[in-house]
Amino acid sequence: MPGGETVRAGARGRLRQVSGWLPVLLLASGLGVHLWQVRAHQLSPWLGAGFGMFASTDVGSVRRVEVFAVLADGTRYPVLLGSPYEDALRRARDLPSGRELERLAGVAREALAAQPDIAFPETPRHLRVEVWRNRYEPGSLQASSSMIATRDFAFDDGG
Amino acid sequence: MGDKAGPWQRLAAGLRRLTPAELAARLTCLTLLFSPVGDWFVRPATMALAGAGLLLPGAWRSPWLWGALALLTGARVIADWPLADNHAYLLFYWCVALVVAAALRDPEVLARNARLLIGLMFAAAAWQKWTSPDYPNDVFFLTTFLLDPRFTDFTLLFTTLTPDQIEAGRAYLEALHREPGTVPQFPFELPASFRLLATASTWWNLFEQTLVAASFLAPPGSRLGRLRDAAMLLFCFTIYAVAPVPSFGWLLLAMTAAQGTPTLRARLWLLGCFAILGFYYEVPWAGLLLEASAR
Repeated sequence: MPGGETVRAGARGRLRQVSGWLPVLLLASGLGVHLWQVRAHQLSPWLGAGFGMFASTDVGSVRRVEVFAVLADGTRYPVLLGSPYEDALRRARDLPSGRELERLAGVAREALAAQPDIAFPETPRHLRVEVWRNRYEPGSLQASSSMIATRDFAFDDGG
Repeated sequence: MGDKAGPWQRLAAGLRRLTPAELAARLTCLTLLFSPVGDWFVRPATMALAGAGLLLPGAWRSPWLWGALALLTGARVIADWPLADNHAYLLFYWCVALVVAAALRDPEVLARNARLLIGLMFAAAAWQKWTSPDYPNDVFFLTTFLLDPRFTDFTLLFTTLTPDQIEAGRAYLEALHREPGTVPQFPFELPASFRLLATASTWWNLFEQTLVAASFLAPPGSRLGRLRDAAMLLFCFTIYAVAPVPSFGWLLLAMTAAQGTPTLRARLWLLGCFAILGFYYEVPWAGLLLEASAR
Protein backbone atom coordinates (compact mmCIF):
# COMPACT_ATOMS: atom_id res chain seq x y z
CA MET A 1 0.00 0.00 0.00
CA PRO A 2 1.75 3.19 -1.13
CA GLY A 3 0.06 5.31 1.61
CA GLY A 4 1.40 2.99 4.34
CA GLU A 5 4.88 3.09 2.85
CA THR A 6 4.80 6.89 2.83
CA VAL A 7 3.82 6.94 6.51
CA ARG A 8 6.59 4.47 7.37
CA ALA A 9 9.13 6.44 5.37
CA GLY A 10 8.03 9.63 7.14
CA ALA A 11 8.37 7.95 10.55
CA ARG A 12 11.83 6.64 9.62
CA GLY A 13 12.84 10.14 8.50
CA ARG A 14 11.69 11.66 11.78
CA LEU A 15 13.51 8.93 13.74
CA ARG A 16 16.67 9.65 11.76
CA GLN A 17 16.31 13.33 12.49
CA VAL A 18 15.74 12.85 16.23
CA SER A 19 18.50 10.25 16.65
CA GLY A 20 20.94 12.66 15.05
CA TRP A 21 20.42 14.97 18.04
CA LEU A 22 20.63 12.22 20.68
CA PRO A 23 24.16 13.07 21.97
CA VAL A 24 23.23 16.73 22.45
CA LEU A 25 19.98 15.76 24.19
CA LEU A 26 21.95 13.49 26.52
CA LEU A 27 24.39 16.30 27.33
CA ALA A 28 21.56 18.76 28.03
CA SER A 29 19.75 16.22 30.27
CA GLY A 30 22.96 15.39 32.15
CA LEU A 31 23.60 19.08 32.73
CA GLY A 32 20.04 19.56 34.06
CA VAL A 33 20.37 16.61 36.45
CA HIS A 34 23.75 17.90 37.65
CA LEU A 35 22.36 21.36 38.43
CA TRP A 36 19.44 19.83 40.30
CA GLN A 37 21.73 17.50 42.31
CA VAL A 38 24.03 20.40 43.24
CA ARG A 39 21.09 22.49 44.43
CA ALA A 40 18.99 19.79 46.09
CA HIS A 41 21.63 17.39 47.42
CA GLN A 42 24.89 19.38 47.64
CA LEU A 43 26.59 17.33 44.92
CA SER A 44 30.19 18.53 44.59
CA PRO A 45 30.25 20.73 41.46
CA TRP A 46 33.36 18.86 40.29
CA LEU A 47 31.38 15.67 39.74
CA GLY A 48 28.48 14.64 37.58
CA ALA A 49 27.70 15.90 34.13
CA GLY A 50 27.92 19.65 34.76
CA PHE A 51 31.53 20.14 33.59
CA GLY A 52 32.28 22.07 36.77
CA MET A 53 35.66 20.43 37.31
CA PHE A 54 38.33 23.01 38.25
CA ALA A 55 35.65 25.65 38.92
CA SER A 56 35.02 25.49 42.66
CA THR A 57 36.85 24.93 45.93
CA ASP A 58 34.02 22.60 46.93
CA VAL A 59 36.00 19.45 46.21
CA GLY A 60 36.27 16.16 48.08
CA SER A 61 39.57 16.96 49.82
CA VAL A 62 37.97 19.86 51.73
CA ARG A 63 34.79 18.00 52.60
CA ARG A 64 34.65 15.84 55.70
CA VAL A 65 32.22 13.12 56.75
CA GLU A 66 31.86 12.33 60.42
CA VAL A 67 29.82 9.54 62.00
CA PHE A 68 28.97 9.50 65.71
CA ALA A 69 27.23 7.06 68.02
CA VAL A 70 25.06 9.28 70.26
CA LEU A 71 23.93 8.25 73.74
CA ALA A 72 20.65 9.27 75.35
CA ASP A 73 22.36 12.12 77.24
CA GLY A 74 23.83 13.51 73.99
CA THR A 75 27.38 12.21 74.49
CA ARG A 76 28.94 11.47 71.11
CA TYR A 77 31.48 8.82 70.23
CA PRO A 78 33.17 9.07 66.83
CA VAL A 79 32.76 5.99 64.66
CA LEU A 80 35.93 5.57 62.60
CA LEU A 81 35.34 3.76 59.33
CA GLY A 82 38.35 2.22 57.59
CA SER A 83 39.17 1.37 54.03
CA PRO A 84 36.47 -1.32 53.52
CA TYR A 85 33.93 1.49 53.88
CA GLU A 86 35.70 4.03 51.62
CA ASP A 87 33.13 3.88 48.87
CA ALA A 88 30.18 4.64 51.18
CA LEU A 89 32.17 7.46 52.80
CA ARG A 90 33.13 8.92 49.41
CA ARG A 91 29.55 8.82 48.13
CA ALA A 92 28.18 10.47 51.29
CA ARG A 93 30.92 13.11 51.11
CA ASP A 94 30.40 14.00 47.46
CA LEU A 95 26.60 13.62 47.35
CA PRO A 96 25.18 13.95 50.88
CA SER A 97 21.59 13.12 49.90
CA GLY A 98 19.29 11.36 52.37
CA ARG A 99 19.83 8.11 50.51
CA GLU A 100 23.63 8.23 50.65
CA LEU A 101 23.64 9.27 54.32
CA GLU A 102 21.30 6.37 55.12
CA ARG A 103 23.55 3.99 53.21
CA LEU A 104 26.54 5.22 55.21
CA ALA A 105 24.65 4.79 58.48
CA GLY A 106 23.84 1.21 57.49
CA VAL A 107 27.51 0.57 56.77
CA ALA A 108 28.49 2.13 60.12
CA ARG A 109 26.05 -0.17 61.93
CA GLU A 110 27.59 -3.16 60.18
CA ALA A 111 31.08 -1.98 61.10
CA LEU A 112 30.13 -1.64 64.77
CA ALA A 113 28.38 -5.03 64.77
CA ALA A 114 31.55 -6.59 63.35
CA GLN A 115 33.59 -5.27 66.31
CA PRO A 116 31.77 -6.41 69.46
CA ASP A 117 34.80 -5.41 71.56
CA ILE A 118 33.86 -1.74 71.11
CA ALA A 119 31.90 -1.02 74.25
CA PHE A 120 29.78 2.04 74.89
CA PRO A 121 28.67 2.89 78.48
CA GLU A 122 25.13 2.25 77.30
CA THR A 123 23.44 1.34 74.03
CA PRO A 124 23.61 4.40 71.77
CA ARG A 125 20.31 6.06 70.95
CA HIS A 126 21.19 6.87 67.38
CA LEU A 127 23.87 7.31 64.75
CA ARG A 128 24.55 10.83 63.53
CA VAL A 129 26.11 11.47 60.14
CA GLU A 130 27.51 14.94 59.45
CA VAL A 131 29.04 16.30 56.26
CA TRP A 132 31.16 19.45 56.44
CA ARG A 133 32.90 21.62 53.90
CA ASN A 134 35.46 24.40 54.08
CA ARG A 135 35.21 27.87 52.60
CA TYR A 136 37.95 30.49 52.27
CA GLU A 137 37.95 34.26 52.47
CA PRO A 138 39.18 36.03 49.32
CA GLY A 139 42.52 37.69 49.96
CA SER A 140 43.44 36.14 53.31
CA LEU A 141 42.33 32.52 52.65
CA GLN A 142 40.97 32.52 56.21
CA ALA A 143 39.14 29.17 56.49
CA SER A 144 35.74 28.41 57.92
CA SER A 145 33.87 25.12 58.08
CA SER A 146 30.14 24.67 57.75
CA MET A 147 27.91 21.66 58.03
CA ILE A 148 26.17 21.02 54.72
CA ALA A 149 24.17 17.93 55.70
CA THR A 150 23.33 16.02 58.85
CA ARG A 151 20.93 13.26 59.76
CA ASP A 152 20.20 11.01 62.73
CA PHE A 153 19.40 7.33 62.32
CA ALA A 154 18.03 5.06 65.04
CA PHE A 155 20.87 2.86 66.22
CA ASP A 156 19.08 -0.47 66.13
CA ASP A 157 16.63 -0.55 63.23
CA GLY A 158 18.03 1.71 60.55
CA GLY A 159 15.03 4.01 60.68
CA MET B 1 60.37 -0.26 -6.42
CA GLY B 2 58.45 2.34 -8.43
CA ASP B 3 57.26 4.16 -5.30
CA LYS B 4 60.04 6.58 -4.41
CA ALA B 5 58.02 8.51 -1.82
CA GLY B 6 59.77 8.80 1.55
CA PRO B 7 58.10 8.10 4.87
CA TRP B 8 57.03 11.72 5.32
CA GLN B 9 55.42 11.84 1.90
CA ARG B 10 53.62 8.58 2.59
CA LEU B 11 52.46 9.87 5.97
CA ALA B 12 51.24 13.10 4.37
CA ALA B 13 49.41 11.20 1.64
CA GLY B 14 47.84 8.90 4.22
CA LEU B 15 46.74 11.84 6.34
CA ARG B 16 45.25 13.58 3.33
CA ARG B 17 43.26 10.46 2.42
CA LEU B 18 41.55 10.17 5.82
CA THR B 19 38.06 11.63 6.05
CA PRO B 20 37.42 13.77 9.15
CA ALA B 21 35.15 11.02 10.52
CA GLU B 22 37.84 8.35 10.08
CA LEU B 23 40.51 10.50 11.70
CA ALA B 24 38.18 11.22 14.62
CA ALA B 25 37.27 7.54 15.02
CA ARG B 26 40.91 6.45 14.93
CA LEU B 27 41.97 9.10 17.44
CA THR B 28 39.12 8.01 19.72
CA CYS B 29 40.36 4.39 19.52
CA LEU B 30 43.91 5.57 20.30
CA THR B 31 42.60 7.54 23.28
CA LEU B 32 40.84 4.44 24.62
CA LEU B 33 44.00 2.38 24.16
CA PHE B 34 46.33 4.92 25.75
CA SER B 35 43.97 5.61 28.59
CA PRO B 36 41.65 2.65 29.18
CA VAL B 37 38.52 3.47 31.15
CA GLY B 38 36.41 1.71 33.76
CA ASP B 39 37.00 -1.08 36.25
CA TRP B 40 39.04 -4.21 35.55
CA PHE B 41 36.06 -5.95 33.96
CA VAL B 42 35.29 -3.06 31.56
CA ARG B 43 38.87 -2.18 30.65
CA PRO B 44 39.89 -5.28 28.65
CA ALA B 45 36.70 -5.07 26.58
CA THR B 46 37.16 -1.36 25.76
CA MET B 47 40.81 -1.97 24.86
CA ALA B 48 39.94 -4.94 22.64
CA LEU B 49 37.23 -2.96 20.85
CA ALA B 50 39.48 0.08 20.42
CA GLY B 51 42.23 -2.17 19.05
CA ALA B 52 39.76 -3.70 16.61
CA GLY B 53 38.67 -0.22 15.53
CA LEU B 54 42.27 0.63 14.70
CA LEU B 55 43.44 -2.60 13.14
CA LEU B 56 40.49 -4.16 11.31
CA PRO B 57 39.83 -2.51 7.94
CA GLY B 58 36.61 -0.50 7.96
CA ALA B 59 35.78 -1.39 11.59
CA TRP B 60 35.91 2.29 12.54
CA ARG B 61 32.63 2.85 10.66
CA SER B 62 30.76 -0.06 12.27
CA PRO B 63 27.75 0.95 14.40
CA TRP B 64 28.22 -2.33 16.31
CA LEU B 65 31.73 -1.37 17.41
CA TRP B 66 30.64 2.05 18.61
CA GLY B 67 27.42 0.63 20.07
CA ALA B 68 29.45 -1.76 22.21
CA LEU B 69 31.79 1.05 23.29
CA ALA B 70 28.80 3.29 24.09
CA LEU B 71 27.33 0.51 26.26
CA LEU B 72 30.61 0.01 28.13
CA THR B 73 31.28 3.71 28.68
CA GLY B 74 27.62 4.21 29.62
CA ALA B 75 27.83 1.30 32.10
CA ARG B 76 30.78 3.07 33.72
CA VAL B 77 28.69 6.23 34.15
CA ILE B 78 25.72 4.31 35.57
CA ALA B 79 27.88 2.21 37.94
CA ASP B 80 29.00 5.38 39.76
CA TRP B 81 25.86 7.44 39.14
CA PRO B 82 25.88 10.42 39.46
CA LEU B 83 29.43 10.72 40.78
CA ALA B 84 31.46 9.83 37.70
CA ASP B 85 33.72 12.66 36.59
CA ASN B 86 33.10 14.95 33.63
CA HIS B 87 35.38 12.94 31.36
CA ALA B 88 33.31 9.75 31.77
CA TYR B 89 30.16 11.56 30.66
CA LEU B 90 31.78 13.23 27.66
CA LEU B 91 33.30 9.94 26.47
CA PHE B 92 29.88 8.28 26.67
CA TYR B 93 28.16 11.11 24.74
CA TRP B 94 30.91 10.96 22.10
CA CYS B 95 30.57 7.19 21.65
CA VAL B 96 26.81 7.71 21.21
CA ALA B 97 27.58 10.35 18.56
CA LEU B 98 29.80 7.83 16.75
CA VAL B 99 27.08 5.14 16.90
CA VAL B 100 24.45 7.51 15.55
CA ALA B 101 26.66 8.76 12.71
CA ALA B 102 27.72 5.21 11.81
CA ALA B 103 24.13 3.95 11.85
CA LEU B 104 22.88 6.88 9.77
CA ARG B 105 26.01 6.74 7.56
CA ASP B 106 26.13 10.49 7.77
CA PRO B 107 29.50 12.12 8.62
CA GLU B 108 27.77 15.51 8.75
CA VAL B 109 25.83 14.32 11.80
CA LEU B 110 29.14 13.45 13.48
CA ALA B 111 30.63 16.85 12.61
CA ARG B 112 27.58 18.69 13.94
CA ASN B 113 27.52 16.65 17.17
CA ALA B 114 31.26 17.22 17.67
CA ARG B 115 30.80 21.00 17.29
CA LEU B 116 27.79 21.13 19.59
CA LEU B 117 29.14 18.76 22.25
CA ILE B 118 32.38 20.75 22.51
CA GLY B 119 30.60 24.10 22.35
CA LEU B 120 27.98 23.24 24.96
CA MET B 121 30.45 21.48 27.24
CA PHE B 122 32.82 24.47 27.21
CA ALA B 123 29.88 26.85 27.64
CA ALA B 124 28.86 24.91 30.76
CA ALA B 125 32.47 24.83 32.03
CA ALA B 126 32.94 28.56 31.43
CA TRP B 127 29.57 29.39 32.98
CA GLN B 128 30.43 27.32 36.09
CA LYS B 129 33.63 29.36 36.43
CA TRP B 130 32.13 32.79 35.78
CA THR B 131 29.35 32.16 38.34
CA SER B 132 31.40 30.30 40.96
CA PRO B 133 31.78 32.25 44.24
CA ASP B 134 35.45 31.13 44.40
CA TYR B 135 36.67 31.53 40.85
CA PRO B 136 36.85 35.11 39.54
CA ASN B 137 38.28 36.28 42.91
CA ASP B 138 41.32 33.92 42.55
CA VAL B 139 40.41 31.84 45.62
CA PHE B 140 40.10 28.72 43.46
CA PHE B 141 43.67 28.79 42.17
CA LEU B 142 45.16 30.11 45.43
CA THR B 143 43.76 27.05 47.19
CA THR B 144 44.09 24.50 44.38
CA PHE B 145 47.79 25.19 43.80
CA LEU B 146 48.31 24.38 47.49
CA LEU B 147 45.83 21.52 47.87
CA ASP B 148 46.38 19.50 44.72
CA PRO B 149 49.78 17.74 44.71
CA ARG B 150 49.66 17.53 40.90
CA PHE B 151 50.41 21.27 40.78
CA THR B 152 53.18 21.36 43.39
CA ASP B 153 56.17 21.38 40.99
CA PHE B 154 54.51 23.98 38.77
CA THR B 155 53.78 26.21 41.78
CA LEU B 156 57.30 25.87 43.15
CA LEU B 157 58.76 26.64 39.71
CA PHE B 158 56.83 29.86 39.12
CA THR B 159 56.51 31.31 42.62
CA THR B 160 58.72 31.98 45.65
CA LEU B 161 56.79 29.50 47.80
CA THR B 162 58.80 26.76 49.54
CA PRO B 163 57.79 23.07 49.88
CA ASP B 164 57.28 23.62 53.62
CA GLN B 165 54.91 26.51 52.98
CA ILE B 166 52.90 24.42 50.53
CA GLU B 167 52.68 21.63 53.10
CA ALA B 168 51.59 24.03 55.84
CA GLY B 169 49.06 25.70 53.54
CA ARG B 170 47.59 22.33 52.53
CA ALA B 171 47.25 21.19 56.16
CA TYR B 172 45.48 24.45 57.05
CA LEU B 173 43.10 24.35 54.09
CA GLU B 174 42.13 20.72 54.66
CA ALA B 175 41.62 20.96 58.43
CA LEU B 176 38.09 20.91 59.80
CA HIS B 177 37.32 24.00 61.90
CA ARG B 178 34.30 23.13 64.02
CA GLU B 179 34.45 26.14 66.36
CA PRO B 180 34.04 29.36 64.37
CA GLY B 181 35.78 31.63 66.91
CA THR B 182 38.91 29.51 67.18
CA VAL B 183 40.06 29.27 63.57
CA PRO B 184 43.69 30.35 63.25
CA GLN B 185 44.86 32.64 60.47
CA PHE B 186 46.42 31.29 57.29
CA PRO B 187 49.93 30.18 58.31
CA PHE B 188 51.99 32.56 56.12
CA GLU B 189 51.76 35.73 54.07
CA LEU B 190 50.91 34.87 50.46
CA PRO B 191 53.79 36.06 48.26
CA ALA B 192 53.11 38.41 45.34
CA SER B 193 54.40 35.84 42.83
CA PHE B 194 51.84 33.31 44.06
CA ARG B 195 48.99 35.81 43.85
CA LEU B 196 50.11 36.80 40.35
CA LEU B 197 50.20 33.15 39.21
CA ALA B 198 46.69 32.58 40.59
CA THR B 199 45.31 35.70 38.90
CA ALA B 200 46.95 34.88 35.56
CA SER B 201 45.66 31.29 35.72
CA THR B 202 42.15 32.46 36.56
CA TRP B 203 41.82 34.89 33.68
CA TRP B 204 43.65 32.72 31.15
CA ASN B 205 41.25 29.86 31.87
CA LEU B 206 38.20 32.10 31.68
CA PHE B 207 39.39 33.60 28.39
CA GLU B 208 40.30 30.28 26.75
CA GLN B 209 37.20 28.36 27.76
CA THR B 210 34.88 31.19 26.77
CA LEU B 211 36.69 31.48 23.43
CA VAL B 212 36.39 27.74 22.72
CA ALA B 213 32.68 27.77 23.62
CA ALA B 214 31.94 30.83 21.50
CA SER B 215 33.89 29.61 18.47
CA PHE B 216 32.33 26.14 18.45
CA LEU B 217 28.80 27.49 18.94
CA ALA B 218 29.17 30.27 16.34
CA PRO B 219 28.00 29.46 12.78
CA PRO B 220 30.81 27.39 11.18
CA GLY B 221 31.37 29.88 8.34
CA SER B 222 31.51 32.96 10.56
CA ARG B 223 34.77 34.70 11.47
CA LEU B 224 34.50 33.43 15.06
CA GLY B 225 33.51 29.95 13.88
CA ARG B 226 36.63 29.70 11.73
CA LEU B 227 38.75 30.18 14.86
CA ARG B 228 37.51 27.00 16.50
CA ASP B 229 40.37 24.62 15.60
CA ALA B 230 42.99 27.19 16.63
CA ALA B 231 41.10 27.92 19.86
CA MET B 232 41.05 24.22 20.76
CA LEU B 233 44.75 23.78 19.96
CA LEU B 234 45.64 26.79 22.09
CA PHE B 235 43.55 25.37 24.92
CA CYS B 236 45.17 21.93 24.75
CA PHE B 237 48.74 23.19 24.31
CA THR B 238 48.51 25.45 27.36
CA ILE B 239 46.09 23.80 29.81
CA TYR B 240 47.43 20.26 29.60
CA ALA B 241 50.98 21.45 30.13
CA VAL B 242 49.83 22.12 33.69
CA ALA B 243 46.77 19.91 34.29
CA PRO B 244 47.87 16.27 33.93
CA VAL B 245 44.69 14.82 32.40
CA PRO B 246 45.74 14.00 28.82
CA SER B 247 42.90 11.56 28.19
CA PHE B 248 40.40 14.42 28.35
CA GLY B 249 42.56 16.45 25.96
CA TRP B 250 42.93 13.50 23.57
CA LEU B 251 39.16 13.07 23.52
CA LEU B 252 38.68 16.78 22.76
CA LEU B 253 41.19 16.53 19.90
CA ALA B 254 39.43 13.46 18.46
CA MET B 255 36.15 15.39 18.54
CA THR B 256 37.82 18.42 16.99
CA ALA B 257 39.09 16.22 14.14
CA ALA B 258 35.51 15.20 13.29
CA GLN B 259 34.52 18.75 12.44
CA GLY B 260 37.88 20.35 11.68
CA THR B 261 39.43 21.74 8.54
CA PRO B 262 40.64 18.71 6.52
CA THR B 263 43.90 20.32 5.34
CA LEU B 264 47.24 18.63 5.86
CA ARG B 265 48.59 21.51 7.92
CA ALA B 266 45.55 21.49 10.26
CA ARG B 267 45.89 17.74 10.72
CA LEU B 268 49.60 17.93 11.47
CA TRP B 269 48.90 20.52 14.15
CA LEU B 270 46.20 18.30 15.60
CA LEU B 271 48.41 15.21 15.67
CA GLY B 272 51.33 17.23 17.04
CA CYS B 273 49.11 18.43 19.85
CA PHE B 274 47.94 14.84 20.47
CA ALA B 275 51.59 13.78 20.84
CA ILE B 276 52.53 16.78 23.02
CA LEU B 277 49.78 15.87 25.51
CA GLY B 278 51.44 12.50 25.97
CA PHE B 279 54.79 14.26 26.44
CA TYR B 280 53.30 16.58 29.08
CA TYR B 281 51.94 13.57 30.95
CA GLU B 282 54.97 11.31 30.77
CA VAL B 283 57.72 13.90 31.25
CA PRO B 284 57.62 15.78 34.58
CA TRP B 285 58.91 18.93 32.87
CA ALA B 286 58.17 21.28 35.79
CA GLY B 287 59.99 18.99 38.22
CA LEU B 288 62.98 18.67 35.89
CA LEU B 289 63.20 22.45 35.41
CA LEU B 290 62.91 22.90 39.15
CA GLU B 291 65.80 20.49 39.72
CA ALA B 292 67.87 22.19 37.03
CA SER B 293 67.25 25.64 38.51
CA ALA B 294 68.25 24.39 41.98
CA ARG B 295 71.69 23.24 40.74
